[in-house]
Amino acid sequence: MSRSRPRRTASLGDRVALEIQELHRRGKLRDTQPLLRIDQRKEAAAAPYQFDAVRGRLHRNGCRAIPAASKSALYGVWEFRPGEQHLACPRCKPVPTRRTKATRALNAPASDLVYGVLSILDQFGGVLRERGREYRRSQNGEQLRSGVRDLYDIFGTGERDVLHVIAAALDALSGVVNDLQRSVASTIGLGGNGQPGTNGHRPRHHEVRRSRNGTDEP
Amino acid sequence: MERVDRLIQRYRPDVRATLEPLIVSCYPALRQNRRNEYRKMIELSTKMTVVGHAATTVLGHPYDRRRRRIAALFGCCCFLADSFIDDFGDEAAHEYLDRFELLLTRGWFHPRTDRERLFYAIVTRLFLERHVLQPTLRQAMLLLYEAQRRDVEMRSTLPSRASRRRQLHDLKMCARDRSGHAILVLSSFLVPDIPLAHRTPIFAAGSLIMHIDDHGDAFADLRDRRVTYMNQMRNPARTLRHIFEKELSRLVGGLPSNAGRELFVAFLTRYFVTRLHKHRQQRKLEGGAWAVYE
Repeated sequence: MSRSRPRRTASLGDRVALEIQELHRRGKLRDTQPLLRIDQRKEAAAAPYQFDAVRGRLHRNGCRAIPAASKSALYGVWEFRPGEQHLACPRCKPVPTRRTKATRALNAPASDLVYGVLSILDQFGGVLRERGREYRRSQNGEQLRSGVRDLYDIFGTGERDVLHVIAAALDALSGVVNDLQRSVASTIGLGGNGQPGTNGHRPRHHEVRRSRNGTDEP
Repeated sequence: MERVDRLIQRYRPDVRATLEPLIVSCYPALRQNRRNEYRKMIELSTKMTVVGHAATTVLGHPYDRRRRRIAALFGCCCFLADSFIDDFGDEAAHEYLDRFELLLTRGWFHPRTDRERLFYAIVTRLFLERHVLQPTLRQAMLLLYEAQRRDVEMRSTLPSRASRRRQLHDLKMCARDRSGHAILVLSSFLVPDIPLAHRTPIFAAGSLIMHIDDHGDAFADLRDRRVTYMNQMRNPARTLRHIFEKELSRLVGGLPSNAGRELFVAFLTRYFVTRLHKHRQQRKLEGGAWAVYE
């Protein structure tokens, strides 16, 4: 496997993401909290129901009727619908549940989100587009700042540590972005209004677009 | 099955258009790789795009451009992850698993090579396409990871003192889980919140794909000393036929009757037939190099 530094042709998102990882490798980021925690094994093992993906049976947690061969294919389930009653294990007889605040929270616990590397990328493009200072002075920027301040106020120490990690990462990464912007400007030249020439099109910071509701649809 | 052929032809250029810029940017040497990996990766990703089409349609959603892109990225991700596990020896496989666990548990991954950089670029794009903290998706990813780890650990301990029957059982479960959870990861990236009732037949389709795959690659795997359930069978074609019939009936019985289910059946049948053929061809060639197959 060949080894080399990131190429100049790599997208902005890739460079930022790689730079964050590099900062971490060099010990420049505090990481008492994870940047992004996908691992949900503990919570899944403690979920009130366990779904056997092999046999299609829903069990109460700890049901002795769960076959040994299915142990590696169990999905933690926090709620199930009345229409799924036919999947219920006849031995432990789980009953359908209503969605509670606790189960809703499981969809996106704050300690897992931590603005993660991916959210940084997603939001970084937006910040660049709005050109920093101008954006902060706008109504949207003011709302964002106020929202972040409120969020910060309700965070505990752990979450604040995470925000510090992100802030440190963004600070260091601004150098990368400036460097990239300079190199782009020198390559394509500036338009007559002092803005980079885009040939009538908005610049694309990201090819990727995710659904904003975080649930499903494009 | 003609529809499957048409879809493969239609999706292959799309897959190439999705992946090529990333490869050029992160790992251009892959295109000139002597092991023909680039073409293998395109074929695997194309296959994954067809599977994604079936899963999305069966769950009642349109298979739009964004979903096709997700499926292509996922195919590439699987190809690279499998290569880390299978192609560079046990030590590299263990090391990859340790580092991937860090990515899943803490979010950190330090790419050291162009291949790893491409893998990371693909993974971050996938994560951006969907709310990655959706419970089913994140569980499927971890269950897939654990299946990979069991596979690698089992490989390191073979031949073990366990009975042949026990070893075969473990190998079969491992194959079932690796591909069963992988297809649930793909399906959850395409359509979050899959109804419980649909997870089992989709999982069955995934496990069937793994057994078919292992039968097609049986001789190449034996040459590389990779033990699989299928290449340990005395009459693998008969075993595969039995698994095929069992899993297909589970799939047909568990999914609603619609175009997605038809596509699943057609794809799996085509895959089954072509890999039986591939196995016979490979036997004639006495287990030659793993060919690009399409």
